[in-house]
Amino acid sequence: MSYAGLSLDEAPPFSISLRFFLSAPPFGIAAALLLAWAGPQALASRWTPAALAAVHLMTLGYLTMVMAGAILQLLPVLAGARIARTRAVSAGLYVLLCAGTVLLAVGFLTISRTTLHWALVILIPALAALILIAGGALYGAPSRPQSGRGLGLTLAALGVTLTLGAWLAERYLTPHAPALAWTDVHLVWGLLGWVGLLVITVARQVVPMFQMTPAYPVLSDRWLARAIFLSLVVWSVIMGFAIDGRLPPWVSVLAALPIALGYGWFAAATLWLQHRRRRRLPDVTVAYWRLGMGCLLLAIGLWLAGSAIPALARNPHYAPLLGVLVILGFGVSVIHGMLCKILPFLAWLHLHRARFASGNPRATIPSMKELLPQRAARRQFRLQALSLVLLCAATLWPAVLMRPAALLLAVAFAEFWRLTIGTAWRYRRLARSAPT
Amino acid sequence: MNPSPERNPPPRERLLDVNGLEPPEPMERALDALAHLPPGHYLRMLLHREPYLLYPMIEEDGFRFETRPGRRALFEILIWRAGDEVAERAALDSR
Repeated sequence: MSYAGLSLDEAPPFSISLRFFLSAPPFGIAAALLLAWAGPQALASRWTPAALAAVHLMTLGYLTMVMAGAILQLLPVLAGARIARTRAVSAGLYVLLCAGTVLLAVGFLTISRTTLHWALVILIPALAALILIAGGALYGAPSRPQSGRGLGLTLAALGVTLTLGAWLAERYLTPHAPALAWTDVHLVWGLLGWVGLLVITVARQVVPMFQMTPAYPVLSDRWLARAIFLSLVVWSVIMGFAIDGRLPPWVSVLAALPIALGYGWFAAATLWLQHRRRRRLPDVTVAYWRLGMGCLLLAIGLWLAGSAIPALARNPHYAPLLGVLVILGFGVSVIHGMLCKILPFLAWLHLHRARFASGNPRATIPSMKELLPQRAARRQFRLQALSLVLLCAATLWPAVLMRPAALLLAVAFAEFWRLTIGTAWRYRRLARSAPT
Repeated sequence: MNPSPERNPPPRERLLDVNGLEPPEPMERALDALAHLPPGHYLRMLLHREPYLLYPMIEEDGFRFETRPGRRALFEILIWRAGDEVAERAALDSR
């Protein structure tokens, strides 16, 4: 049965996405503890072993883990796209993604080429499988709504990120190492392609629906993801020429402007829509999205300032601060916010279906707010926001602030983990108690 | 926001105004109201957006529905039990 592209019959078991959602926060805790262990030197530059390891624990272990789980769960529902052997595919992907991320982080931390090589041997097939399976399911889907097109671009961006990342990691610490500027291309495709485009694609559905706002303007709803993707392609080609010295660096800065403008527009439009939301009750997802969009605007402002004032961009504090704002401020905040809604919503939905399947349609199902208590979620948000502010400050004053900021971040992730486990535990208890 | 009689409600109608509520509250309330729908009656649900996710749920539960552009909300969804001809006629004849 399908209504407006939604096919509940195709929804895979909740356990498939749940294992991704529940395994992601420990990677956040590990990244934070790693920063605390490395101390003031952790973010002295973006190239320290601890920084490289922590960034990949956060981006692959947390962000990609949640996004892969969400794609496996939502693709069949949103586009009616059937993923063959979902259980086996998701279990395999899950194991490889966990193992590959741990090995990659260990490889960076111990500066071991062998470990990095094995990490690639595991991660390349895992992520390539995600791209091919999800892309194939999208291609063969009976309905291809707007979100399906956005998802296709997102997967393509993951493909570019993976290709560049594999190339960079394979040649890392060798005489054939590519120019450092290629890591900028890799990380921009990862953060503003894979993560950013998925956020934009999902936002058009979840912001109006869950945050009770008007819809995004039609023009940006239809074209923004495509325009940003095209800008990323153009910028990458120009970067290639600039790295080879065939174009002056300012041309690549100019080529990056449309990407910054696209994200600036998205952040401003989201904040404006939230300002006009119909129901003004406190909501932790809205708070997380506001924080994420605010950080995105700050990051764009900082990047513009760094582009206009080269001395600022050369400052050793500049890149770590930009990284914290984008990865933790934008990426993690938005994903935390989405999980606070999607997790109890999926639990509620699957409990409802289990209720009918059990032949006990009148059994009481707790509300979403009971499945993920709002008071605890708000407390976790305050911890997360405080740790973010502290970590931003720690990039400027690492000697005093790095360890307390990183430890607080670990506590915030642990608290978030506790919240998600609580929802899963309530779901399991109720699902098992349904008479069959 | 609970099922409540309007000023002159048709005798076989139960009104559920969930306009402006956050998901899945409209669905939760609709499913609750449907569980207590007396025979021969239909539910008129007022909502600010089309509840696509609700449709397969209520069909699974043995209900039929019709969605109309609303006068009091953007959408009005009329829902009756499959096979309840009295309720179906009353719903389809209602304005």
